[in-house]
Amino acid sequence: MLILWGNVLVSGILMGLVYGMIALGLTIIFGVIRIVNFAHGAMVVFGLYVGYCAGVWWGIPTIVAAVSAGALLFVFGYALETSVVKRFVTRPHHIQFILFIGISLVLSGAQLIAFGPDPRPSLSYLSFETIALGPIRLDLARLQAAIVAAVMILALAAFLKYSTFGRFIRAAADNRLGGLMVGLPIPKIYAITFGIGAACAGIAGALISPLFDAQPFLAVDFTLLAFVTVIVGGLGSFVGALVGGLTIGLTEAVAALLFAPSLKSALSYGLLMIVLIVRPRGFFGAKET
Amino acid sequence: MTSLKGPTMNRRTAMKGAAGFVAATMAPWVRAAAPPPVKIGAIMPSSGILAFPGQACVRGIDLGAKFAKERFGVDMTVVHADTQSKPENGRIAAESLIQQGCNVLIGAWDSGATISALQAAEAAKVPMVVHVASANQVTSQGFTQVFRFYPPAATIVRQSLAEMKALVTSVKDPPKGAVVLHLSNTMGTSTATSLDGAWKELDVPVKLLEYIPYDEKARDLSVEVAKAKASGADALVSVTRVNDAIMIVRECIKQGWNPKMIFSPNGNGVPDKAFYDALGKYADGAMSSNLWYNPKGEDTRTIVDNFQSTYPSEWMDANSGCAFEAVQIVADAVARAKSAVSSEIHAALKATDLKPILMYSGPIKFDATGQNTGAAVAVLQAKDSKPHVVGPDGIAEYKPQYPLAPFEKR
Repeated sequence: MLILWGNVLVSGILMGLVYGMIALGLTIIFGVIRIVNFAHGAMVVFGLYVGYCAGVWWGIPTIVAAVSAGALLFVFGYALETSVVKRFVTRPHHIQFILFIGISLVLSGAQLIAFGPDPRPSLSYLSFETIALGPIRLDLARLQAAIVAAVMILALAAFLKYSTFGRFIRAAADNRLGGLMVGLPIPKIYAITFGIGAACAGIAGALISPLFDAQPFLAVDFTLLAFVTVIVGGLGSFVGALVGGLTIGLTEAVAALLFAPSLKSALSYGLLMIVLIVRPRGFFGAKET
Repeated sequence: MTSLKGPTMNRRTAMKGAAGFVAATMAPWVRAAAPPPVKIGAIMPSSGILAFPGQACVRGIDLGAKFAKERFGVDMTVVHADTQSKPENGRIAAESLIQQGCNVLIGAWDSGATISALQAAEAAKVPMVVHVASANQVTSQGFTQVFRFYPPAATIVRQSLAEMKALVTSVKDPPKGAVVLHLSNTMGTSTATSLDGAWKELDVPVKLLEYIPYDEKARDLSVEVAKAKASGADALVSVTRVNDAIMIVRECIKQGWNPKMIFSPNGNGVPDKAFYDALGKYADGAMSSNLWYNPKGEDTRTIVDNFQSTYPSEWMDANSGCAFEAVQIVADAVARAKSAVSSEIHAALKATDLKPILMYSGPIKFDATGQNTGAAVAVLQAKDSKPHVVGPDGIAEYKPQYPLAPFEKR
């Protein structure tokens, strides 16, 4: 029984870190631009397809595929922001929601046309590999994703704290109007931030390709998952995304073991409701002023 | 008396004349006897979460229509409608097809959409041939227009367990305990319930240790498989869709669990190409019982080869096969009815007694509820990255492989 508990908890932690990584891009974009990217899941699926193509067509390792997906999605995000999103930054939220739902549908439709509806597995060796630590087995694909998630968060935090452009981003996030008044290139900052958020989604997608088969219809699931994670952790907070992911991952794992596995989702949404009631801004979210 | 002798009229001349007369006067009748063109409405989940099987069905319908023209001489125009994988869209799709003049419907893969479509078919008195949908409600709600080729879940499970029992009683060192991993949706729950009853009824000599239901949207089945492993079972019985069948086998490999048998009654995975694409050599050995084409059928090779040349990157699978067979059922009815009028096709469908063209089944006949009484399942086993029929004996391509080769030794 102890071995079962040990394996389940480790699996929950690793899965939680993967969830955190999936949510990271969403929280960056919201934290700076204050828009909610409903196309986030479709961008993760884009990354999944990059992981699939890289692995199956060209035999490229997942990590390299993740870097490529990040670069591709950065360019895509940057172009999307400068051509479409920037016109909606100051528009009411419900208009922004419709815009991003539209973008999500277009992306999913394009993926459906390009790859069809069949699930596309990456067939990476990581899909079947584990590391045994005594009786505890660590899933290699999840472990890799979890490590990259931690590295990404540290790198982003360092970039925001120590680089000049990072300071610009933080200033723009704190006070857009003030930033404009002191001459900060707000449109450029927003475009780069949106690109970084999209790149995070792409990297996450490629890294989880050994775990999830690419399918266009996963977009909604990933968007919802990212939302639950960042709402629990706190919208706009990197650490919140990680802790939110861990909380959801562990809740699902323990719920599956203690109750019925089919109640996993119900319990993670139950947790979301409790957080919304008790601490609406999430664990690490900033207080509304 | 001088006899009047006109042109000689002997027996042969009379026969020729009669034949000519018959040919001349009956020609329009002969033309009318050729089956009239018929418009078929095909309702499938061609997009959305069920697009994968939905599009397989579309392929089966299109190929079936071409085949039916050659076999039954019936000209078919197929109009496709998409439910977008939403059950409530079944009725909307059916109404639209009926408005477009479809004389008969085929569909709709999932039971919810099928029942929804049947309501529209019932209102318009347009017959509907259900190629796939296993919920009991499809034929138990008093619909008069339904003709279901596919067996109900309980029948599939019972036949499947009978095959499984035959296997475990014939092997050395049979499994001692089984764990059931199943979807918690309508299909999974009803199959699990049927499984429980049939297991006891058939007295399968393997102890059922635990049922583990899981959500159909589960992203990760590591805990479920860990629980299954911890139950001490050495046989895994699963009721899955393709994606979760893949996840389950992956987790078995990762968690070092080597059940002696993986068997899926009425489940997806083994029959589907995606299962092999995702798992490669690890797919081999898994078994399932499904409706499947008869590998020893007269026309099977031709049809499967034709499918392969038309859709080189796809397989003829259970979904394509059932859709194909449904088209033949309609073509046979239209040919016998010699009419494209819905009510006359309906009457002909009721009198169907058709030797299946492609699928493994007894003679296709519909009872008073519209259920095909000849429906039968085949047992499949993954071997060399393809599904092969291993039971019943009469159509088996190979003997079943038992026990499963341990994953780490492949």
